[in-house]
Amino acid sequence: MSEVILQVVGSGVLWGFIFVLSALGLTIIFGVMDICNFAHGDFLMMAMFLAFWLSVWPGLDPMLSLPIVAIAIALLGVATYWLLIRHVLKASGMAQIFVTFGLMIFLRGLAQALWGADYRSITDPLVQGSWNIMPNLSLSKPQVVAALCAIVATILVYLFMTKTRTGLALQAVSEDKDAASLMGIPVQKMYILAWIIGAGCVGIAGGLLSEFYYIYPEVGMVYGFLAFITVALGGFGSIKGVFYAGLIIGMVQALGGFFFGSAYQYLLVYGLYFVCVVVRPQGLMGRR
Amino acid sequence: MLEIKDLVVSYGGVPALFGVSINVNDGEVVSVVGSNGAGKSTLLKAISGLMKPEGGEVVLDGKSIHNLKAHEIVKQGIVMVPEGRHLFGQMSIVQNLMMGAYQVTDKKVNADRLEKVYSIFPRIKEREKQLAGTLSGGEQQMVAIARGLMSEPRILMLDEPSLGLAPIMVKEMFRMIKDIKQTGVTILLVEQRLKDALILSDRAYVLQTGKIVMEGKGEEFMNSPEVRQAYLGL
Repeated sequence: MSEVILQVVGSGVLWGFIFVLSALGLTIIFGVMDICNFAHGDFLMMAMFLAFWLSVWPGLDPMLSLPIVAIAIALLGVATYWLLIRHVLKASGMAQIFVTFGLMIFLRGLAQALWGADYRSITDPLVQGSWNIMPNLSLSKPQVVAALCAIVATILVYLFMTKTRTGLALQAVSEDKDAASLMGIPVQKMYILAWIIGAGCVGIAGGLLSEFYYIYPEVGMVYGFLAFITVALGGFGSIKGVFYAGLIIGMVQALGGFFFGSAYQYLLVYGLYFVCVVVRPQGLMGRR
Repeated sequence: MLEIKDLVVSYGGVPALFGVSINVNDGEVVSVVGSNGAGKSTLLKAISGLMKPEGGEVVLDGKSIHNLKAHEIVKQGIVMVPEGRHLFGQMSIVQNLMMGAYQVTDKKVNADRLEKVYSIFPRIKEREKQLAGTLSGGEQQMVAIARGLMSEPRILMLDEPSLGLAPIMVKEMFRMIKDIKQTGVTILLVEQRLKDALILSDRAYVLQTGKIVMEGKGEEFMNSPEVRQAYLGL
């Protein structure tokens, strides 16, 4: 029994790192400009489809096309900022919600129209199979590789945000944008940068996920929700918070699936979120 | 060097400044005094680019600058230390100061400037690693001014630097502003603490409900009984 639990927890942790990376983008965008991007999960879906089509032609495995996918989704983020968000920055919260919610529906519909509702997957991924670490503990190779990539990306983003001049300026904008502009920090450029990093992160997460998970137009729904819950549990705008919350959610999801069956694996996650909202609405690492 | 001509500014549709004109010469300390709601902060916000004037001009060395964005105004050498300090509370003191010099990329220049502001405010050097949000009001005000100085402005605008400070800190604050004046920085000061502001200032303007009603030397204001009664309530 305990070995089975170990297996479940191990796989949950691996999932957790993917959640961390995809939620990281959401929390950065939210932190810097107080905009909740409801289309975040669909950025992930777009990344997965792009990785899939690049594997069809020119035959690049998702692991290899990762930089291309990351850049493409980062550009999608910039376009979203420039064409939509920029115009509602001073509008009411409701207008901001409608804009990103509308984008979510648009991207999902676009994927349906272009590629149909079919489930696709990478047929012969570069990384496949699993490692047997102990007699009863085996970890899927693509998940391990994806988790490692997610860890590296998360650490890089964290170092960028806390150690570099530009990263600190992003933090300054997220704390007080008027004071930041009085210091000579170009706020608009920082907003664009936030979208580049935020969308780039979820692009990488999508690329990694496509190596071992189904690709379909609705895939963003589950992962979008999970990213929101990760951000809310960790504390809106907090990078460290997202890290812990992502791991917790990965494990809770895996354990929930094990004890209650995979149909209910998210029940525990949402239950945890509910408890968090009631007991500690600011999240684990949130301010106020 | 800084000329404000007939500035008109509205605050959320409500006019706050009706044609305000002031000028600030190189090396001067100029203060704008007046009661709460007279439009003093609005004036500084309009100069710093946080608010767009609807009419009039802000001219620096013959160049019109009121259409620039806030971060571009900093590049022109005008920095505002906002009312209520507005530090980045989750960042350390030294990180706050580094943000003040955001437009300077040369590390050596930055390090020199840091030493310079620490020599004016030695108390904050000891705590440079501490989060700005955990400091006392007086210390926060010092960091806010130091952060403003990090860009080596030609004109430093201070919005109510004594607000919310303990009396002993207020004294120290004005002494430090005097020190800064002595380094050759031009200062535009907005204060409700008239006496301290006027003693420090070369010239002063009285702002009343969005209009300049009086202009003169700081001491003259202090010594004129009518001015004291009519406008300053001293």
